[in-house]
Amino acid sequence: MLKFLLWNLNKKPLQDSIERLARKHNIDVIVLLENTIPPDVILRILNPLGTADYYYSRDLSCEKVHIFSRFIDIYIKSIQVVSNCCTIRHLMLPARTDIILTAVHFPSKKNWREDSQIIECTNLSEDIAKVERQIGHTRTVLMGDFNMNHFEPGVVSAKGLHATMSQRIARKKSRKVQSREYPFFYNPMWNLFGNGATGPSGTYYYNNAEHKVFFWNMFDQVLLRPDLVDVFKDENLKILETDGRESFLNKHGIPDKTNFSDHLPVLFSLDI
Amino acid sequence: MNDLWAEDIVTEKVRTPVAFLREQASFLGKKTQNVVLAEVVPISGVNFFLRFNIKAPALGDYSYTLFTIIHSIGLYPLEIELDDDVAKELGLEISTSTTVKDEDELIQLLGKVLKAERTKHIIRILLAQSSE
Repeated sequence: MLKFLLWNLNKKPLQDSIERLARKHNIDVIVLLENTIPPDVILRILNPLGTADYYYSRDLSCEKVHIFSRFIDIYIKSIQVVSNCCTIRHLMLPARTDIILTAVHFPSKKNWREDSQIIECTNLSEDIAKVERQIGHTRTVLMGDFNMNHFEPGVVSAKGLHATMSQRIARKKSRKVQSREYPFFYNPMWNLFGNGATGPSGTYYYNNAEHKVFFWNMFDQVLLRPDLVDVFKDENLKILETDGRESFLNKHGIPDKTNFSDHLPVLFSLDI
Repeated sequence: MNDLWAEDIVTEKVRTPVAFLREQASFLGKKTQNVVLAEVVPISGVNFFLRFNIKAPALGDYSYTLFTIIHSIGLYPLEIELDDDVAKELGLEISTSTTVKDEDELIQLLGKVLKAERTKHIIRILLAQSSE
């Protein structure tokens, strides 16, 4: 079982919480966004003296996504130069099924309009398909801060990421629109959105005195190709509200962005 | 037809230079909390021609070759070519390979190389640079 942690740190020095989360959940791959903590500081806190559990796995073409993992470079190789906000890795561990791991941090809604976000999703979708052809399988997990909700056109549309809420639909692998074939992703984040979820109602909270506001948003997402659905369990996907010692939420039950990040971390696992 | 192969082909284990070097490489990560690493890189994908690098992932995977090793299918004797400054410090000829006749000799030489002032200096610099 491989465990993954995704967290947009909002440029906060949250290394103590990262360490607590890594230990508490026995994380194998830590994906950090908006990270300004120097890698050596994170390594020193993740690896108490005399230990070497975690490695920093740098992708020279991508400055916006930082990955720390239990694996040396050769097991988590960067595949190709895609863009500054995206890294695509081939995770090839001995005696385990290899997967394609993609992590992104798309520009904020403050800087990009919806049209630009949709176009970027189509670019990412094409990049992933190209890598899948190159590697020869579609065991791909895509995670990141999309700065889009799971129901927005870039995430849902066929030419975009084509991420559906339904495992059953995703298992059909693809669908045709105007004679063109588009592969699916399964988006389990739908299950965690709103009051039906046991944890927080989203990963990011935004309130403003305007007519349309969702309050809770699901900007941080984990998407899986149908070929990984069988090794993924919905109940192992969680939005975390504590590192075991401190709460990431304030007294109003929303992210405590004074002391922590404005995004909540996401935890999931794959049984590979 | 009788099996003419020897019975002890696979029962007798051989430790190769690459296995030994990889073991040594793994110790550095533990000392530096993986801020500075050592790695053994086969050149042209062949385990008979090896490069022993010190590298710093936080510095864009900057790597420094401490020595290279070439050996034949017989493993020993092997040829080791040290970094010039390390060779000078150990009183060996620079830019020339040194012959190592067996594993004991390799362990002895490697002990001197990994403890050399030049080696320590390189690691300390990479540690300091990684923190900036």
